[in-house]
Amino acid sequence: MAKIPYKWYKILAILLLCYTIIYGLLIPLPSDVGMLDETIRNLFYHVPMWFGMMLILMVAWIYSIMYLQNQYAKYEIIARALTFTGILMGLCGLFTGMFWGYNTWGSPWTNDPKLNGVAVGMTMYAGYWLIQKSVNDGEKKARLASVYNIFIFPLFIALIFVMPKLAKFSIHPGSGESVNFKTYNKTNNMEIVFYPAIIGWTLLFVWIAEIRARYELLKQRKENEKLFA
Amino acid sequence: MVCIIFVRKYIFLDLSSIPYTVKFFLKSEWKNKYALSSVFIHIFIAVLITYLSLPGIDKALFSSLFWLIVIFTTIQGISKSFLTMNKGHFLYWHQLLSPVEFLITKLIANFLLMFLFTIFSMFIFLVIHGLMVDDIFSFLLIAVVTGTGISSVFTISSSIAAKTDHPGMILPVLTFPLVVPLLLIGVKASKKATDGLGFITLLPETLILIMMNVLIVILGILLVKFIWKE
Repeated sequence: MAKIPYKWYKILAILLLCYTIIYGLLIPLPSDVGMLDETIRNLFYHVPMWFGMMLILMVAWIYSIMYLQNQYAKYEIIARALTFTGILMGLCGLFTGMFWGYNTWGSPWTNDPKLNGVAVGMTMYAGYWLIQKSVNDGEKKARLASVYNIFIFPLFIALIFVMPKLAKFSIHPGSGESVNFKTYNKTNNMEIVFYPAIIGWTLLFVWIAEIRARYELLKQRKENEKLFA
Repeated sequence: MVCIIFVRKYIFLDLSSIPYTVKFFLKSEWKNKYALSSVFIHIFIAVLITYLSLPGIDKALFSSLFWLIVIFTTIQGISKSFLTMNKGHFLYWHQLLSPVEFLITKLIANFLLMFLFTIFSMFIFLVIHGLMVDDIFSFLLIAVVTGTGISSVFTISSSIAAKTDHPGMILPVLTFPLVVPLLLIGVKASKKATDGLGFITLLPETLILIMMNVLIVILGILLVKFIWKE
Protein backbone atom coordinates (compact mmCIF):
# COMPACT_ATOMS: atom_id res chain seq x y z
CA MET A 1 0.00 0.00 0.00
CA ALA A 2 0.96 3.58 -0.48
CA LYS A 3 0.24 4.30 3.13
CA ILE A 4 2.85 6.38 4.90
CA PRO A 5 3.73 4.45 8.08
CA TYR A 6 3.77 7.50 10.33
CA LYS A 7 0.52 8.82 11.75
CA TRP A 8 2.01 11.74 13.61
CA TYR A 9 2.58 13.79 10.48
CA LYS A 10 -1.16 14.35 10.16
CA ILE A 11 -1.37 15.63 13.72
CA LEU A 12 1.69 17.79 13.07
CA ALA A 13 0.02 19.22 9.93
CA ILE A 14 -3.13 20.14 11.86
CA LEU A 15 -1.21 21.69 14.74
CA LEU A 16 1.10 23.69 12.46
CA LEU A 17 -1.80 24.95 10.34
CA CYS A 18 -3.79 26.00 13.42
CA TYR A 19 -0.71 27.86 14.64
CA THR A 20 -0.18 29.41 11.20
CA ILE A 21 -3.74 30.62 10.78
CA ILE A 22 -4.26 31.90 14.31
CA TYR A 23 -0.86 33.41 15.02
CA GLY A 24 -0.52 34.54 11.39
CA LEU A 25 -3.49 36.84 11.92
CA LEU A 26 -2.34 38.05 15.34
CA ILE A 27 1.37 38.63 14.71
CA PRO A 28 2.48 42.31 14.82
CA LEU A 29 3.81 43.45 11.42
CA PRO A 30 7.18 45.10 10.78
CA SER A 31 6.92 48.85 10.42
CA ASP A 32 8.55 49.21 6.98
CA VAL A 33 6.38 47.09 4.67
CA GLY A 34 5.10 50.18 2.84
CA MET A 35 2.22 49.70 0.45
CA LEU A 36 1.93 45.99 1.26
CA ASP A 37 0.46 46.87 4.63
CA GLU A 38 -1.77 44.15 6.11
CA THR A 39 -1.79 42.11 2.87
CA ILE A 40 1.70 40.86 3.76
CA ARG A 41 -0.08 38.24 5.87
CA ASN A 42 -0.80 36.47 2.56
CA LEU A 43 2.88 35.48 2.75
CA PHE A 44 1.77 32.62 5.00
CA TYR A 45 -0.65 31.26 2.39
CA HIS A 46 0.69 32.15 -1.06
CA VAL A 47 4.41 31.41 -0.80
CA PRO A 48 4.17 28.00 0.99
CA MET A 49 1.91 26.79 -1.84
CA TRP A 50 4.72 27.22 -4.37
CA PHE A 51 7.38 25.71 -2.12
CA GLY A 52 5.22 22.69 -1.47
CA MET A 53 4.22 22.39 -5.11
CA MET A 54 7.84 22.27 -6.25
CA LEU A 55 8.64 19.60 -3.67
CA ILE A 56 5.59 17.47 -4.49
CA LEU A 57 6.12 17.71 -8.25
CA MET A 58 9.77 16.78 -7.83
CA VAL A 59 8.87 13.67 -5.86
CA ALA A 60 6.28 12.83 -8.53
CA TRP A 61 9.00 13.22 -11.18
CA ILE A 62 11.25 10.79 -9.30
CA TYR A 63 8.39 8.30 -9.01
CA SER A 64 7.77 8.58 -12.77
CA ILE A 65 11.42 7.75 -13.46
CA MET A 66 11.21 4.85 -11.03
CA TYR A 67 8.08 3.58 -12.80
CA LEU A 68 9.79 3.57 -16.19
CA GLN A 69 12.78 1.77 -14.71
CA ASN A 70 10.98 -1.15 -13.10
CA GLN A 71 7.35 -1.02 -14.23
CA TYR A 72 5.57 -1.30 -10.87
CA ALA A 73 2.03 0.01 -11.33
CA LYS A 74 2.14 1.27 -7.74
CA TYR A 75 4.82 3.84 -8.54
CA GLU A 76 2.77 5.29 -11.37
CA ILE A 77 -0.31 5.57 -9.17
CA ILE A 78 1.72 7.42 -6.53
CA ALA A 79 3.23 9.69 -9.20
CA ARG A 80 -0.22 10.46 -10.60
CA ALA A 81 -1.69 11.24 -7.20
CA LEU A 82 1.27 13.50 -6.36
CA THR A 83 1.11 15.32 -9.70
CA PHE A 84 -2.62 15.97 -9.42
CA THR A 85 -2.10 17.26 -5.88
CA GLY A 86 0.73 19.45 -7.19
CA ILE A 87 -1.60 20.91 -9.82
CA LEU A 88 -4.20 21.59 -7.11
CA MET A 89 -1.55 23.30 -5.00
CA GLY A 90 -0.43 25.39 -7.98
CA LEU A 91 -4.01 26.50 -8.58
CA CYS A 92 -4.35 27.46 -4.90
CA GLY A 93 -1.10 29.43 -5.18
CA LEU A 94 -2.34 31.09 -8.36
CA PHE A 95 -5.62 32.18 -6.79
CA THR A 96 -4.08 33.47 -3.57
CA GLY A 97 -1.54 35.31 -5.73
CA MET A 98 -4.25 36.85 -7.87
CA PHE A 99 -6.08 37.96 -4.75
CA TRP A 100 -2.89 39.51 -3.42
CA GLY A 101 -2.10 41.16 -6.74
CA TYR A 102 -5.60 42.62 -6.98
CA ASN A 103 -5.14 44.32 -3.64
CA THR A 104 -1.59 45.60 -4.12
CA TRP A 105 -0.90 46.02 -7.86
CA GLY A 106 -4.51 46.84 -8.74
CA SER A 107 -5.09 43.97 -11.14
CA PRO A 108 -5.13 40.19 -10.71
CA TRP A 109 -2.80 39.59 -13.65
CA THR A 110 0.17 41.60 -14.87
CA ASN A 111 2.61 41.02 -17.68
CA ASP A 112 5.32 39.58 -15.50
CA PRO A 113 7.75 36.76 -16.39
CA LYS A 114 7.00 34.80 -13.24
CA LEU A 115 3.23 34.88 -13.72
CA ASN A 116 3.42 34.03 -17.41
CA GLY A 117 5.83 31.17 -16.72
CA VAL A 118 3.44 29.68 -14.19
CA ALA A 119 0.54 30.01 -16.61
CA VAL A 120 2.43 28.11 -19.30
CA GLY A 121 3.59 25.52 -16.77
CA MET A 122 0.04 24.92 -15.60
CA THR A 123 -1.03 24.33 -19.23
CA MET A 124 1.78 21.75 -19.50
CA TYR A 125 0.36 19.91 -16.52
CA ALA A 126 -3.12 20.25 -18.04
CA GLY A 127 -1.65 18.25 -20.93
CA TYR A 128 -0.56 15.60 -18.41
CA TRP A 129 -4.11 15.48 -17.06
CA LEU A 130 -5.45 15.16 -20.62
CA ILE A 131 -3.20 12.18 -21.37
CA GLN A 132 -4.44 10.48 -18.23
CA LYS A 133 -8.06 11.01 -19.27
CA SER A 134 -7.79 10.27 -23.00
CA VAL A 135 -6.09 6.85 -23.07
CA ASN A 136 -8.13 3.79 -22.15
CA ASP A 137 -5.39 1.16 -22.02
CA GLY A 138 -4.07 1.35 -18.46
CA GLU A 139 -0.47 0.31 -19.03
CA LYS A 140 -0.03 2.49 -22.11
CA LYS A 141 -1.57 5.42 -20.27
CA ALA A 142 0.87 4.97 -17.41
CA ARG A 143 3.83 4.85 -19.79
CA LEU A 144 2.85 7.90 -21.87
CA ALA A 145 1.97 9.96 -18.82
CA SER A 146 5.28 9.12 -17.12
CA VAL A 147 7.24 10.03 -20.24
CA TYR A 148 5.40 13.33 -20.54
CA ASN A 149 5.88 14.05 -16.85
CA ILE A 150 9.63 13.46 -17.15
CA PHE A 151 9.66 15.85 -20.11
CA ILE A 152 7.74 18.72 -18.61
CA PHE A 153 9.24 18.99 -15.14
CA PRO A 154 12.67 20.36 -16.27
CA LEU A 155 10.92 22.78 -18.63
CA PHE A 156 8.61 23.88 -15.80
CA ILE A 157 11.63 24.54 -13.58
CA ALA A 158 13.25 26.49 -16.41
CA LEU A 159 10.09 28.53 -16.87
CA ILE A 160 9.49 29.55 -13.27
CA PHE A 161 13.04 29.78 -11.93
CA VAL A 162 15.45 30.48 -14.80
CA MET A 163 13.37 32.73 -17.07
CA PRO A 164 12.40 35.28 -14.36
CA LYS A 165 16.05 35.46 -13.30
CA LEU A 166 17.04 36.26 -16.90
CA ALA A 167 14.35 38.90 -17.29
CA LYS A 168 15.43 42.49 -16.76
CA PHE A 169 12.32 43.74 -15.04
CA SER A 170 9.79 42.07 -12.83
CA ILE A 171 7.42 43.43 -10.20
CA HIS A 172 7.03 40.05 -8.56
CA PRO A 173 9.26 39.75 -5.48
CA GLY A 174 12.17 37.33 -5.67
CA SER A 175 12.99 37.67 -9.36
CA GLY A 176 15.08 40.05 -11.47
CA GLU A 177 16.12 43.17 -9.57
CA SER A 178 12.92 43.63 -7.64
CA VAL A 179 12.46 43.79 -3.89
CA ASN A 180 13.05 40.78 -1.74
CA PHE A 181 11.37 39.88 1.50
CA LYS A 182 14.77 39.74 3.17
CA THR A 183 14.83 43.54 2.99
CA TYR A 184 11.74 43.78 5.19
CA ASN A 185 12.43 41.11 7.72
CA LYS A 186 15.31 42.64 9.61
CA THR A 187 13.43 43.90 12.62
CA ASN A 188 10.66 41.44 13.01
CA ASN A 189 9.67 37.89 13.66
CA MET A 190 7.61 36.91 10.63
CA GLU A 191 9.87 33.94 10.03
CA ILE A 192 8.55 32.17 13.09
CA VAL A 193 5.21 31.85 11.31
CA PHE A 194 6.53 31.54 7.76
CA TYR A 195 8.63 28.38 8.13
CA PRO A 196 6.01 26.42 10.10
CA ALA A 197 3.49 27.50 7.44
CA ILE A 198 5.61 25.93 4.68
CA ILE A 199 5.88 22.63 6.57
CA GLY A 200 2.22 22.63 7.56
CA TRP A 201 0.77 23.28 4.11
CA THR A 202 3.13 20.77 2.47
CA LEU A 203 2.16 18.08 4.98
CA LEU A 204 -1.55 18.80 4.42
CA PHE A 205 -1.19 18.29 0.67
CA VAL A 206 0.96 15.18 1.17
CA TRP A 207 -1.93 13.86 3.23
CA ILE A 208 -4.36 14.60 0.37
CA ALA A 209 -2.03 12.84 -2.08
CA GLU A 210 -1.74 9.83 0.21
CA ILE A 211 -5.52 9.45 0.43
CA ARG A 212 -5.77 9.77 -3.31
CA ALA A 213 -3.10 7.14 -3.97
CA ARG A 214 -4.66 4.72 -1.49
CA TYR A 215 -8.07 5.19 -3.11
CA GLU A 216 -6.66 4.51 -6.59
CA LEU A 217 -4.79 1.42 -5.40
CA LEU A 218 -7.89 0.01 -3.72
CA LYS A 219 -9.90 0.67 -6.87
CA GLN A 220 -7.32 -1.16 -8.94
CA ARG A 221 -7.25 -4.09 -6.55
CA LYS A 222 -11.06 -4.31 -6.73
CA GLU A 223 -10.91 -4.37 -10.53
CA ASN A 224 -8.28 -7.10 -10.48
CA GLU A 225 -10.40 -9.17 -8.10
CA LYS A 226 -13.35 -8.80 -10.46
CA LEU A 227 -11.13 -9.79 -13.35
CA PHE A 228 -9.80 -12.98 -11.76
CA ALA A 229 -12.90 -14.01 -9.80
CA MET B 1 25.27 8.16 -12.65
CA VAL B 2 22.11 7.11 -14.49
CA CYS B 3 23.06 9.53 -17.24
CA ILE B 4 26.45 7.90 -17.69
CA ILE B 5 24.88 4.44 -17.99
CA PHE B 6 22.43 5.73 -20.58
CA VAL B 7 25.13 7.51 -22.55
CA ARG B 8 27.30 4.40 -22.62
CA LYS B 9 24.33 2.45 -23.87
CA TYR B 10 23.51 4.86 -26.65
CA ILE B 11 26.89 6.08 -27.82
CA PHE B 12 27.73 2.91 -29.74
CA LEU B 13 24.64 3.09 -31.92
CA ASP B 14 24.85 1.89 -35.47
CA LEU B 15 23.80 4.92 -37.45
CA SER B 16 24.81 3.70 -40.90
CA SER B 17 21.24 3.03 -42.06
CA ILE B 18 19.98 6.49 -41.18
CA PRO B 19 20.78 8.36 -44.44
CA TYR B 20 18.80 5.83 -46.44
CA THR B 21 15.78 6.02 -44.15
CA VAL B 22 15.86 9.81 -44.16
CA LYS B 23 15.93 9.68 -47.94
CA PHE B 24 13.00 7.29 -47.90
CA PHE B 25 10.91 9.53 -45.65
CA LEU B 26 11.62 12.61 -47.75
CA LYS B 27 10.74 10.67 -50.90
CA SER B 28 7.44 9.57 -49.43
CA GLU B 29 6.76 13.19 -48.46
CA TRP B 30 7.46 14.19 -52.05
CA LYS B 31 5.17 11.45 -53.34
CA ASN B 32 1.97 12.75 -51.78
CA LYS B 33 2.43 16.29 -52.95
CA TYR B 34 -0.98 17.43 -51.76
CA ALA B 35 0.17 17.27 -48.11
CA LEU B 36 3.37 19.19 -48.70
CA SER B 37 1.79 21.83 -50.91
CA SER B 38 -1.13 22.29 -48.53
CA VAL B 39 1.33 23.49 -45.87
CA PHE B 40 2.78 26.04 -48.30
CA ILE B 41 -0.69 27.25 -49.26
CA HIS B 42 -1.61 27.40 -45.58
CA ILE B 43 1.41 29.61 -44.89
CA PHE B 44 0.59 31.87 -47.83
CA ILE B 45 -3.03 32.31 -46.76
CA ALA B 46 -2.06 32.98 -43.15
CA VAL B 47 0.39 35.68 -44.19
CA LEU B 48 -2.20 37.17 -46.53
CA ILE B 49 -4.75 37.30 -43.69
CA THR B 50 -2.29 39.11 -41.44
CA TYR B 51 -1.56 41.57 -44.26
CA LEU B 52 -5.23 42.25 -44.92
CA SER B 53 -6.15 42.66 -41.27
CA LEU B 54 -3.04 44.53 -40.13
CA PRO B 55 -1.77 46.50 -43.16
CA GLY B 56 1.02 48.63 -41.71
CA ILE B 57 2.78 46.57 -39.04
CA ASP B 58 5.92 47.78 -37.31
CA LYS B 59 9.12 45.91 -36.51
CA ALA B 60 8.08 44.85 -33.01
CA LEU B 61 4.93 43.19 -34.34
CA PHE B 62 6.78 41.68 -37.30
CA SER B 63 8.79 39.04 -35.47
CA SER B 64 6.00 37.95 -33.11
CA LEU B 65 3.59 37.61 -36.04
CA PHE B 66 6.19 35.67 -38.00
CA TRP B 67 6.67 33.11 -35.22
CA LEU B 68 2.94 32.79 -34.60
CA ILE B 69 2.38 31.94 -38.25
CA VAL B 70 5.33 29.53 -38.33
CA ILE B 71 4.19 27.46 -35.36
CA PHE B 72 0.50 27.40 -36.27
CA THR B 73 1.07 26.39 -39.88
CA THR B 74 3.97 23.95 -39.59
CA ILE B 75 2.47 21.84 -36.79
CA GLN B 76 0.31 20.07 -39.36
CA GLY B 77 3.17 19.46 -41.74
CA ILE B 78 5.55 18.14 -39.08
CA SER B 79 3.17 16.03 -37.05
CA LYS B 80 1.15 14.42 -39.81
CA SER B 81 3.90 11.87 -40.51
CA PHE B 82 3.24 10.44 -37.04
CA LEU B 83 -0.50 11.01 -36.87
CA THR B 84 -1.23 9.26 -40.16
CA MET B 85 0.72 6.16 -39.14
CA ASN B 86 -1.53 3.35 -38.01
CA LYS B 87 -0.62 0.40 -35.83
CA GLY B 88 0.54 -1.68 -38.80
CA HIS B 89 3.00 1.01 -39.87
CA PHE B 90 4.42 1.18 -36.38
CA LEU B 91 4.91 -2.58 -36.27
CA TYR B 92 6.53 -2.54 -39.70
CA TRP B 93 9.05 0.12 -38.72
CA HIS B 94 9.64 -1.64 -35.44
CA GLN B 95 10.95 -4.65 -37.34
CA LEU B 96 13.32 -2.59 -39.43
CA LEU B 97 14.72 -0.03 -37.00
CA SER B 98 15.25 0.39 -33.29
CA PRO B 99 13.15 3.15 -31.67
CA VAL B 100 16.19 5.39 -31.23
CA GLU B 101 17.18 5.04 -34.88
CA PHE B 102 13.62 5.79 -35.92
CA LEU B 103 13.48 8.90 -33.75
CA ILE B 104 16.81 10.19 -35.09
CA THR B 105 15.62 9.61 -38.64
CA LYS B 106 12.39 11.45 -37.98
CA LEU B 107 14.24 14.30 -36.28
CA ILE B 108 16.53 14.78 -39.26
CA ALA B 109 13.74 14.50 -41.84
CA ASN B 110 11.53 16.90 -39.90
CA PHE B 111 14.41 19.31 -39.45
CA LEU B 112 14.86 19.45 -43.24
CA LEU B 113 11.12 19.97 -43.75
CA MET B 114 11.03 22.67 -41.08
CA PHE B 115 14.00 24.39 -42.72
CA LEU B 116 12.06 24.48 -45.98
CA PHE B 117 8.89 25.79 -44.31
CA THR B 118 10.74 28.48 -42.34
CA ILE B 119 12.60 29.76 -45.39
CA PHE B 120 9.41 29.78 -47.40
CA SER B 121 7.36 31.61 -44.77
CA MET B 122 10.16 34.14 -44.30
CA PHE B 123 10.28 34.74 -48.04
CA ILE B 124 6.50 35.20 -48.28
CA PHE B 125 6.51 37.41 -45.20
CA LEU B 126 9.22 39.67 -46.58
CA VAL B 127 7.58 39.87 -50.00
CA ILE B 128 4.11 40.72 -48.72
CA HIS B 129 4.88 42.88 -45.69
CA GLY B 130 7.95 44.55 -47.18
CA LEU B 131 11.62 44.25 -46.27
CA MET B 132 11.55 45.07 -42.56
CA VAL B 133 14.58 43.09 -41.40
CA ASP B 134 17.79 45.08 -41.13
CA ASP B 135 20.12 42.16 -40.52
CA ILE B 136 18.80 39.43 -42.75
CA PHE B 137 21.52 36.82 -42.14
CA SER B 138 21.17 36.97 -38.37
CA PHE B 139 17.40 36.68 -38.77
CA LEU B 140 17.90 33.64 -40.97
CA LEU B 141 20.26 32.08 -38.44
CA ILE B 142 17.82 32.61 -35.57
CA ALA B 143 14.98 31.30 -37.71
CA VAL B 144 16.89 28.11 -38.48
CA VAL B 145 18.08 27.51 -34.90
CA THR B 146 14.65 28.13 -33.37
CA GLY B 147 13.05 26.11 -36.15
CA THR B 148 15.27 23.17 -35.29
CA GLY B 149 14.14 23.28 -31.67
CA ILE B 150 10.49 23.65 -32.63
CA SER B 151 10.66 20.76 -35.07
CA SER B 152 12.25 18.44 -32.49
CA VAL B 153 9.60 19.36 -29.90
CA PHE B 154 6.88 18.77 -32.50
CA THR B 155 8.37 15.40 -33.45
CA ILE B 156 8.64 14.09 -29.90
CA SER B 157 5.29 15.36 -28.66
CA SER B 158 3.50 14.12 -31.78
CA SER B 159 5.03 10.70 -31.21
CA ILE B 160 3.42 10.79 -27.74
CA ALA B 161 0.12 12.13 -29.08
CA ALA B 162 -0.03 9.52 -31.85
CA LYS B 163 -0.34 6.82 -29.19
CA THR B 164 -3.36 8.40 -27.48
CA ASP B 165 -6.94 7.74 -28.53
CA HIS B 166 -7.70 11.18 -30.01
CA PRO B 167 -4.38 12.43 -31.42
CA GLY B 168 -5.78 15.38 -33.37
CA MET B 169 -7.31 16.94 -30.27
CA ILE B 170 -4.49 16.16 -27.85
CA LEU B 171 -1.57 17.23 -30.05
CA PRO B 172 -1.87 21.06 -29.81
CA VAL B 173 -2.40 20.91 -26.05
CA LEU B 174 0.69 18.77 -25.56
CA THR B 175 2.83 20.71 -28.01
CA PHE B 176 2.28 24.44 -27.67
CA PRO B 177 3.18 24.78 -23.97
CA LEU B 178 6.44 22.93 -24.61
CA VAL B 179 7.31 25.28 -27.47
CA VAL B 180 6.82 28.45 -25.39
CA PRO B 181 10.30 28.59 -23.74
CA LEU B 182 11.99 28.21 -27.13
CA LEU B 183 9.66 30.70 -28.72
CA LEU B 184 10.18 33.36 -26.05
CA ILE B 185 13.93 33.36 -26.68
CA GLY B 186 13.44 33.12 -30.44
CA VAL B 187 11.09 36.11 -30.57
CA LYS B 188 13.46 38.16 -28.42
CA ALA B 189 16.46 37.31 -30.62
CA SER B 190 14.65 37.88 -33.91
CA LYS B 191 13.49 41.26 -32.61
CA LYS B 192 17.14 42.14 -32.14
CA ALA B 193 17.84 40.96 -35.68
CA THR B 194 15.04 43.08 -37.16
CA ASP B 195 16.52 46.10 -35.43
CA GLY B 196 19.93 45.23 -36.85
CA LEU B 197 21.89 45.19 -33.59
CA GLY B 198 24.57 42.94 -35.05
CA PHE B 199 25.45 39.29 -34.68
CA ILE B 200 27.40 39.64 -31.42
CA THR B 201 24.29 40.65 -29.46
CA LEU B 202 22.50 37.50 -30.65
CA LEU B 203 25.22 35.12 -29.51
CA PRO B 204 23.87 34.36 -25.98
CA GLU B 205 20.36 33.64 -27.28
CA THR B 206 21.70 31.40 -30.01
CA LEU B 207 23.75 29.43 -27.51
CA ILE B 208 20.79 29.03 -25.12
CA LEU B 209 18.61 27.86 -28.02
CA ILE B 210 21.19 25.30 -29.13
CA MET B 211 21.60 24.03 -25.56
CA MET B 212 17.84 23.69 -25.07
CA ASN B 213 17.61 21.85 -28.36
CA VAL B 214 20.33 19.42 -27.33
CA LEU B 215 18.54 18.84 -24.00
CA ILE B 216 15.24 18.12 -25.76
CA VAL B 217 16.85 15.70 -28.22
CA ILE B 218 18.70 13.84 -25.45
CA LEU B 219 15.52 13.53 -23.38
CA GLY B 220 13.68 12.29 -26.47
CA ILE B 221 16.35 9.68 -27.26
CA LEU B 222 16.32 8.42 -23.67
CA LEU B 223 12.55 8.16 -23.49
CA VAL B 224 11.52 7.07 -26.98
CA LYS B 225 11.71 3.37 -26.27
CA PHE B 226 9.00 3.72 -23.60
CA ILE B 227 6.75 5.61 -25.99
CA TRP B 228 7.16 2.98 -28.67
CA LYS B 229 6.53 -0.20 -26.74
CA GLU B 230 3.30 -1.90 -27.78
